Parts: sequence; C-alpha cells; structure tokens
Amino acid sequence: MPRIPIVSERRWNPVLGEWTMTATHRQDRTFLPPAEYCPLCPTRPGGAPTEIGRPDFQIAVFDNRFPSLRPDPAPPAVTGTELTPVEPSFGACEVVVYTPRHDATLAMLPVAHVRRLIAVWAHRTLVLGARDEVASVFAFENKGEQIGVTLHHPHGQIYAYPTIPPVLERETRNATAHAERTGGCLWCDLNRQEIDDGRRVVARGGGWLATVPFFARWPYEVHLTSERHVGWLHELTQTEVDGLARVLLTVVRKYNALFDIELPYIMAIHQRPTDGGDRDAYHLHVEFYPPNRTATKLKYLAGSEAGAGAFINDTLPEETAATLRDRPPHDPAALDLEA
Amino acid sequence: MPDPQQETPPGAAMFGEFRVETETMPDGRRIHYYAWPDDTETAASAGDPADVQAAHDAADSDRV
Repeated sequence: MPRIPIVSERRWNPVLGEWTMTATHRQDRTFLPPAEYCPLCPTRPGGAPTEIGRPDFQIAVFDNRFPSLRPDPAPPAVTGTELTPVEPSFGACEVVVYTPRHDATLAMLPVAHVRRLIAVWAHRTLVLGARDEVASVFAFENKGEQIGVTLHHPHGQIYAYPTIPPVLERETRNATAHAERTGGCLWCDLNRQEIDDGRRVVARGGGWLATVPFFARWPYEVHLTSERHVGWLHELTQTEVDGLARVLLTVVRKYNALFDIELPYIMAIHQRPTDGGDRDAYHLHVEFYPPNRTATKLKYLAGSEAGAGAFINDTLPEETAATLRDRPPHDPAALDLEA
Repeated sequence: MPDPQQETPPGAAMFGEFRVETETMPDGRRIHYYAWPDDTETAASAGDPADVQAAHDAADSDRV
C-alpha cells in the first residue's frame, strides 16, 4: 500500500488555550469499504492484501495509516507566530483490531477476549507512555456511522498526545484541587455518593461501578469507575481486570437492548497522564457517550454545546439509569451463565 | 510508570500470559500481534446468545 503524504501539525489557540491538530491527509482515508475490501480483516490466502499481513490473529495493533500524531512528523506547513505558535504533531496514532471477525462487535466478544483487549490497552499505554514526547495515552472506540466510523470491522484507536488533552487536563486540575481541599479522591468520593444514593447505578461488580453520572451530558451517558483508587489499567488486579471486562460488556449489551438497535457510542478510556508530573489524584475511568436520545433521534452538539460549551441534557439521569438497569444483562458476574 | 518490556510486560500475571510479535509493514509502519496460548478460553467463556454464536463461529473458523 502506498504511503500517504503526511501533513500533521498542531496550531495553538490562544483564545481557548488549547491546541488544534491539523491532519489534511485524513481527508483521503478509506471510507466504508465493502466487507470484501475491509483493510482490518486478515489477509486471506489468495485474497487482496489488507493492513494485517497474517491470515489469522487474536488482537492486532498497528500504526494508523492516516495519523494525526506521529513520532517523526514533517515540519509544519505554515510558520507560526509568538501569539499563535505551530508545532509538528509529535505522538502516535494506533489502530487496535479487536478480532479477525469482520461482523463482530465489542458487545459480541466473550468475557475472556475482553480481558485480553484490556491487557492490550494496558500494554500499549505502557509502551507509548514511556516515550519522552508522550504526555497522555488515550484509548477509545467510535462505534457506528452516526459517530463517523469509516470502517465497520470492530476496532478502536489509541492516541498518544504530546500534551495532556483539554478534557483530561481539566479533569486532572479539578481532581488535584479536590484532593488539596478535602484530602480525598474526586472519583472515589463520587463513587461513594452514587453507591449511597443508588438511583443512577447501572451495574456494579468486580471492583467497578457503572453509573449514569449525576451531571450526565448525554441521555444514556455511562461512566465506569474502579472502586479502588488506581490511575492506569496496568495497576488493576486480576479480579479488577475481569470486573472491568464484565461491567464493560454489561453496559454495551444493555445499550443494544435499549432500543433493539446496535447503539452507536464513543467509548473513552481516561487514564492518568504519563508526563511525569504529580498526577496521583487522577483516577482511572471509562466514559461512554451514545448520541441517541431515542431509537431514531440523536442529540446533536448545537448552539449551546458547540458554541458555548454548555451542555443541555433532555433527560433525567435518574430515569435513564433506571431504564438501563432494567435492560439485560442484569448481573455482570453471570455474563457467562445467562442464556 | 514502569518501563515497558514488550516480551514480559509488567502486569502480565493479572492479564494472563501473552506474547507480542512485532513486524514491519510494507510501507514501514509497525504492527504488533498479541497472542495468548490459551486460545480455547475465548470460545469456552461464551455464554449469552451473542457469545454462543460467536463461539460457534469461532469454532467453525478457528478464529476468535
């Protein structure tokens, strides 16, 4: 496959105090190819070559062909100024292919395979986070065409950023301030509040709590938080890895049972930054943002959200949590047993 | 954070033993194949209808 010319740079927005990544080559990326030309399927004997040269695999991770961040970025296309600097986009973009099965989804994977996927996320975080130019490793999945998915084969992505991205930076700052003010962990305190209240709990088990957060922005937003204070996936115990696999599967299967459709979502794995700073207050968690508010209606980021950054949720978290709680599966520990 | 060790990653015990084989793709990019010796566990752990179908398909195709 020919190498795509790469233009990857970061431009500083002094108004918002954040970087915008420019990656023009991504305009050319493969868009919803038919299954027989899927670049994430294994290369079958006699078949067209794909990104994966082997005829079979369990889980594969490769450098994104259309990266927004890369270890050896070309010089920026423009010259910045003191007010608006521009930098090469150092970092990495990787694709995680969950399974060779083209027609599978995360929700269809067995618990044991999701435990393996967690191991891969953890290991890639260690590998990428150890690089000097990487400050934060972010694993995520975009599911469904409504989210902008361009390939249907089950996969996720990992971005290794040269700075802590805005959302994680804001979380880190607020967690540190909370720790300085109270001596406690922000997420541990939220967990205690949610467990005591109970109305927004969606699932619990294996050291993990899934809730529609009190402050949910999306109707069926769910956060998975470890009950023990850890910052990275590789710090989990065997029980907690199994617990995360089960609670994660419980949530995505509940999503599919919600409207009897394969619910689109963004899954964001938030781990402690790897920049070497004092980030002990940061607590590992996973966030899901499905765009649907009904089976056929989506929530869009419109005026207030996109223009002012102020989210409006059309639903009550207590009610959407109750709805999700009612949908199967009901017990993460029994996932392998439920018929 | 601990240093990564690709062949014997930290935390391997809690994630189960796995192997990472890294290859260079034709255009110079890198691909990492993660493999577990206990492949039967993937199908054997299946339980709900989706899992059962996946396990059957996996057994048929010798894939996960």
